[in-house]
Amino acid sequence: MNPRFMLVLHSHLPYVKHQGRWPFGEVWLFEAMAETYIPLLRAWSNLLDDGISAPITLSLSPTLMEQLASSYLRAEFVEYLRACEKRAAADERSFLAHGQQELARVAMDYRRFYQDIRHFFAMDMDGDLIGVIKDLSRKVPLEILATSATHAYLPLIRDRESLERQIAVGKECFIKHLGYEPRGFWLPECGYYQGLEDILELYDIKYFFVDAHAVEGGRPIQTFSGSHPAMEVETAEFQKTGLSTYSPYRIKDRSLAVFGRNTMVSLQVWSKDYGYPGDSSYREFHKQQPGSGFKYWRVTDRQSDLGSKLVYDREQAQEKVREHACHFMDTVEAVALEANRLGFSEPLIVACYDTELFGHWWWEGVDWLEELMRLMAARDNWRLVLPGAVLEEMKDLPEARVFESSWGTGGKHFGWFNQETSWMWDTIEKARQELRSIKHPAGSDLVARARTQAVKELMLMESSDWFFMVSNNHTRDYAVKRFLEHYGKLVRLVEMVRMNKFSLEDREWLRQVEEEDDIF
Amino acid sequence: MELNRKSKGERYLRVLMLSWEFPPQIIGGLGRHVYELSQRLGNYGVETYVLTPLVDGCATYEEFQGVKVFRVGTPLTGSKRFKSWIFDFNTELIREGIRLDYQEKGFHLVHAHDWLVGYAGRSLSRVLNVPLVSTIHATEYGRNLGLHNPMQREIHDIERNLILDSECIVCCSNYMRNEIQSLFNPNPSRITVIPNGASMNRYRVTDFPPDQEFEGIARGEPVVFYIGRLVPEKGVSILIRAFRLVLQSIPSAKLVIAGRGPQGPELQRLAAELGLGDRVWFAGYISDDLRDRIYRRANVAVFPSLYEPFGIVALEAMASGTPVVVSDVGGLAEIVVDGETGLKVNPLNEANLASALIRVLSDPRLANRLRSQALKVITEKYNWDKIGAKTSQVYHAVTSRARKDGVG
Repeated sequence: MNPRFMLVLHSHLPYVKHQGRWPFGEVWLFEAMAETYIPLLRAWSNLLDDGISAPITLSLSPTLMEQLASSYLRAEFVEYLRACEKRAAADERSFLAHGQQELARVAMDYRRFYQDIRHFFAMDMDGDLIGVIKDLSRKVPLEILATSATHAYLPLIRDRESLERQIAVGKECFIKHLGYEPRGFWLPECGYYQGLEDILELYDIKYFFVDAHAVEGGRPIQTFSGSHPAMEVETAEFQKTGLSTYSPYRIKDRSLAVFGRNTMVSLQVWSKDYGYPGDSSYREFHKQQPGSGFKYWRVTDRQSDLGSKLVYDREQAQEKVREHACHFMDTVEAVALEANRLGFSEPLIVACYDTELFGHWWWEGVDWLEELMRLMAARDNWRLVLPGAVLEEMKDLPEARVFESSWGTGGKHFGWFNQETSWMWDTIEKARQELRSIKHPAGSDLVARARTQAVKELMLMESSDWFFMVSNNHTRDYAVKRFLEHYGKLVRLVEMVRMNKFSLEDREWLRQVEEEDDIF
Repeated sequence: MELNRKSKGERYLRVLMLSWEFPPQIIGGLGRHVYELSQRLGNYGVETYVLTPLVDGCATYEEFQGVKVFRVGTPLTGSKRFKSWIFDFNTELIREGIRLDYQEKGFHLVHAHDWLVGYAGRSLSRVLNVPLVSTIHATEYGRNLGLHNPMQREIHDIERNLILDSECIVCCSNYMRNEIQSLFNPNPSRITVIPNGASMNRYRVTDFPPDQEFEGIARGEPVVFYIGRLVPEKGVSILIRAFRLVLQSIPSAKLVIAGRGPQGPELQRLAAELGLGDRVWFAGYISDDLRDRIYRRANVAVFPSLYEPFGIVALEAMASGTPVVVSDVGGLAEIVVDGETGLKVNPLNEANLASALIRVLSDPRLANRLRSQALKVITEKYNWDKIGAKTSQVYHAVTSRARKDGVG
């Protein structure tokens, strides 16, 4: 038996540039860069140094790429790292002064961590993460997926023009930053409905990904973290199809292929109850040192309150990383055996995760990935594969129909459409009507600029993030504020176009908004 | 080419005022407040545009003595969930606020009343690049004596963010200033206290005899009057218990309880259990006219609240010439000077409340003194013209500050 393993990491952050710093705003991006993206790229370059070339599929959202490319944010990021280093050093001194050796050691680790990241970012990477990714792709088999422009949740964007714009701009942005045409497309949140293929085909997309139940049917797995206060989750139930995710499929009557995410490997990492990140030795995410905000404790006991957490021990955590990598390897072995029993001689196991899970949420996650790649490379019968190559190998794919679905709570659209968010979708429809009312504006260059900016504001409103934050009651105020500000800007821009009058103040304001929401 | 819409030398300030209540839609004191305030601002160089929800049977545009009132969105009644309605209403406020900014000459500031219009206020202030003034009439924490469920916590957060984004926060009493400061910790210099006002002419009802008969009040009965919502924070159950003690001294006394609320049935049960029988009249919701007549007829008005940011009802009673007994809490404590403009009692102490009521009912000289002193204070201090003047000062200060900072 020769199983194949496909690692797919989806990377995304909403557009936070110029939209607040801390606690909400640009710091979100900086945390992901420092704790996830840079460590991940370093891990792959370490692997390469040891002669291991681990194929990986990455999706990079356009909002993320635009921000990684911004010279303003690159400079701010270095300042952020310097500030982190200082805060860690201050904690270290304070712990030492109070005789807290254990805590001081963790503080020292943080200080070194941020110093390392800063040197690596400024020197080795030249501040250019996208450049490093492109460079890596020349040395390691690496496939990059495009996704919708502002990470819009596509099944709920039924307006054809908006839908097409999300996909078209997503593709354009990919080409702008990477210099070639994308082949694969990441549907944000794995959100799919029958009909999306029409547009994906139009833009020469060859394949996309869905959650397991979209292919297999049955009950969706409930792995998404997040609580829905005072809301009854609607869970969709799908007819069993008899198909599995061990093979990709060709969408019926289409040229597009679809990959299904493997349930077992997702649960192992994501599950609140038995996923790895909740292990007692790993760093506790929720307890922070007042003042500096650093996290000095381990999970200890998931049920225990934050007051009774023990101090973090790096060696102990690294021990667990190796243990969990072995455990995961055993799990995929078992899954492959089961697949083999079903008649798949080269079963495909597709593991899709949000990139930010590793490092940011699960502090040891990047080390775990690196360790896993080493284990995989050491097994002769296992192959790490990329979607494009798989499709080239398999000329005659079986056909399938895929269910309307997502990887979110309830398996369908509940995480983005519910009683808390329905007004937001109504507002988006109002915004579209505003835009339609100035479809063919005649006039100066100012009119064209204002209309273009209004379209950007609509796209920013369509980001799935605001809906997700409102549904989960997580930084809800920031989400509503952002959503309504983009709406307000859109209304003002449309009004300017409609009246075709631009006072000095209007022109200055237009320039400001173009600078503030300067995406694409 | 056009010059700036908000030219700097202008004498007039154009203010966009957001309120989820406006006459005829009156749920609490907020709608009446916005109405009275907006009427007065014109005298102080302020042109006011009020945006408020559509009400069935009302025009989408009306003018009241120079105040332009625009009704937007869908009526509250019979629409969807209250929360969805609030957010829809806020998006309509944003839409209409910006449209007006272009059709008229441009606003100089946005004034938001309470959290229900918080998001629209913040968004409009950002998008139109003008300062935000907010009036906090009450807080969710205060209304509920704490935060007990997710909805209350969410409202608390919306209040916090409205307050922190405001150039100036107006509240009606020192009590409210302290509450806002301790709950949300804004820059203290941004809070301004401007008391609420009472409208004198509305309560001057002299065209009917004082000792009138009503459905629930017989001739000659000394009347104790409560008007307000029937909710625990208003302390009506303590009033009913205290009234039992009043009857021991003055058996012919009558307690009139006007208003509705979730606590209504419980209060009626309590009165029955205490055997008060026909000595208590639950009048339910009453018209403004009947209210004024009862004020005229009542010997004492009583407001035994446990929480009261301001206590406009006490001002109304004072303006109508009725002696008042109030609890020594919140804004009520600031309005009434004990023994001069009314009597103050400890909340929760029924014996204390009963003896205060008995004093006013049995001492006509005391009652007269309280009545005339109260009228004097009302005319001098709680006067809508003064409030209009003070509010316009806030507007001028905020806009000139904004200009200095290069905003607006």
